[in-house]
Amino acid sequence: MAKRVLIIDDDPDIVEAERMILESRGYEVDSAADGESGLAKAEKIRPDLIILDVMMATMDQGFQVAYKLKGSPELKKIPVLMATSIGQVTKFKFDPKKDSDFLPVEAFIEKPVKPADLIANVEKLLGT
Amino acid sequence: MLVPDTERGITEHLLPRSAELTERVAWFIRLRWVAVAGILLAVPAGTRLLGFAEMAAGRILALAACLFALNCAYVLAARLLHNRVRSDGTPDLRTVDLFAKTQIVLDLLILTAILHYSGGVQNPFSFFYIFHVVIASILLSRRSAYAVAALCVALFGSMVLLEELGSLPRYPIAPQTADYSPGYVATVVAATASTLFIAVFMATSIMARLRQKEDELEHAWRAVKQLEATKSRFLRLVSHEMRSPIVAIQSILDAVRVTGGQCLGEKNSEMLTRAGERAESLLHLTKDLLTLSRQQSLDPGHEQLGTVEMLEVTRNCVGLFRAQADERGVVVNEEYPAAAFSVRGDAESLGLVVSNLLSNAIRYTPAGGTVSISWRLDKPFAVLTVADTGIGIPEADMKHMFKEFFRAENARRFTGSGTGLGLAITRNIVERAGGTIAVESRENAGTTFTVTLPVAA
Repeated sequence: MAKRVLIIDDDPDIVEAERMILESRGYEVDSAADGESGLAKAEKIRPDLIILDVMMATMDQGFQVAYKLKGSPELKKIPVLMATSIGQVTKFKFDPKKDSDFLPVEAFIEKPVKPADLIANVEKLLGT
Repeated sequence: MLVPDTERGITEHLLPRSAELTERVAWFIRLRWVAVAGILLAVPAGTRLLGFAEMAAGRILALAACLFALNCAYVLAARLLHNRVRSDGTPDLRTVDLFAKTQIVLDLLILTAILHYSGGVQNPFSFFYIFHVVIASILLSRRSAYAVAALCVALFGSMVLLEELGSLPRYPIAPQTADYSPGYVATVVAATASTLFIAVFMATSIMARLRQKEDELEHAWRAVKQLEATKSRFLRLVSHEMRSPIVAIQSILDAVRVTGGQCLGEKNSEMLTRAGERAESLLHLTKDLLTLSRQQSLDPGHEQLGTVEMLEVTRNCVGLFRAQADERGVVVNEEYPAAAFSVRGDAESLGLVVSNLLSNAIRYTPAGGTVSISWRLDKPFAVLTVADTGIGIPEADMKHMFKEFFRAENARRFTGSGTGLGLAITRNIVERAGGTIAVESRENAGTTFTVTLPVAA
């Protein structure tokens, strides 16, 4: 059965671009345009992976969503790939090794996301 | 042709009134040492050379000692005042004002006493009152300046009057004409008084004009600063808002190119790649704009500064560009001093100086050329030189090299990419670190950038 990926991003064009790439690789893709509906959708469809944008309505909405996901006993096992362009805006760089202690996500990917990078990250997290 | 970069943004603050007053008070104190020395020389000259046997040399010397002691106290007080500044770094205007007034009043008392002991109305040095009056007109308010003039006249007038009435003894320096008619004495006092008041009137009128101009200047300066801040904010906003659509465009182009596969065809796929590259360079532009506006909006004093080991930074940069240079067939030579050294500044920014100059040198040097990067110590400075054998800069373009968005005509022809912001950013960083940047170039022969930075102790 195809793996399900949920994309939570407020930019519909980015969602569509990522959807195209992932669907071409045989994944089933769902999407949500904000944190709240993203959480609701995750609850409903129980995806195998969540791709989460950091900056949506607020600078850190993505983080809030990530904390809620990891706080839920049913959802906390779902790996989260965080897409971020926060580095270019605030000069803050993520270090997955150090930051995973306080950031509840499995991997980071820089925006604009290169298709090859996206696929590699998704495959790694899903073990496919 | 060597073009030192002289264009600067307006960053210096105008001198606040209290700081100006403090500076003048320091000047006052220095002048007073000269006055003490002058008295010490004048007394023996008067008694020995000029034969002013009747002047009270001992008392005058005692007054000079008094003035000396007072001036020592002023030095201490000035230091104390300097240490007790307000939160904005300037001393309190009222305190400094009071300090200056105290000095003027005490000086006038001493001057009057010295005049008294050295001939009174006979002594032409009574004109020295005018110095205090002029200084008061420049430094203090108009009202205070008139008050100082009135005090001078009162002191001089009462001394002369008391001598005339015989209440004070006379110490004549011209004993043969020791007795003046009351009319003559009154004329001297009147002449002194009118001179002093006219001096105040003239000096304060000129000062009022000057202060008005100064205020206008300050006003204009503030307006420029405001405008500058608005521009920076606007730039930041625009580049920030531009990012998301560009990222979306790039993502879509990539998605179409990657998933389109064979149905796209080679030509279409290539065009999509090109479009992606254009979007990429636009993204670089927004990034550079953000850097630039962030620099402009930062107050120099508010940066987080540390000491940066420059050789380490430089070696890292060269390492990052090695692959690019190899790919382009450009040789990179390095030459560093044996000892490590540091520069005060922000590590990331100073790294940007090296990487911007290096990436330009590599980018504008055709295959087979050489880029030489070197540091040399010339205490208290460290000098970075980045020289290439590249396309060079046309002479007409030299003076624009550090301007935002400027790209030399031959550089545009040589490569399409490039924002014209790199050197502007570099210059900003260098100047913030207290350094200078200069460029030397000959078209089709090569370019040399020289950055001079103060070495951290």
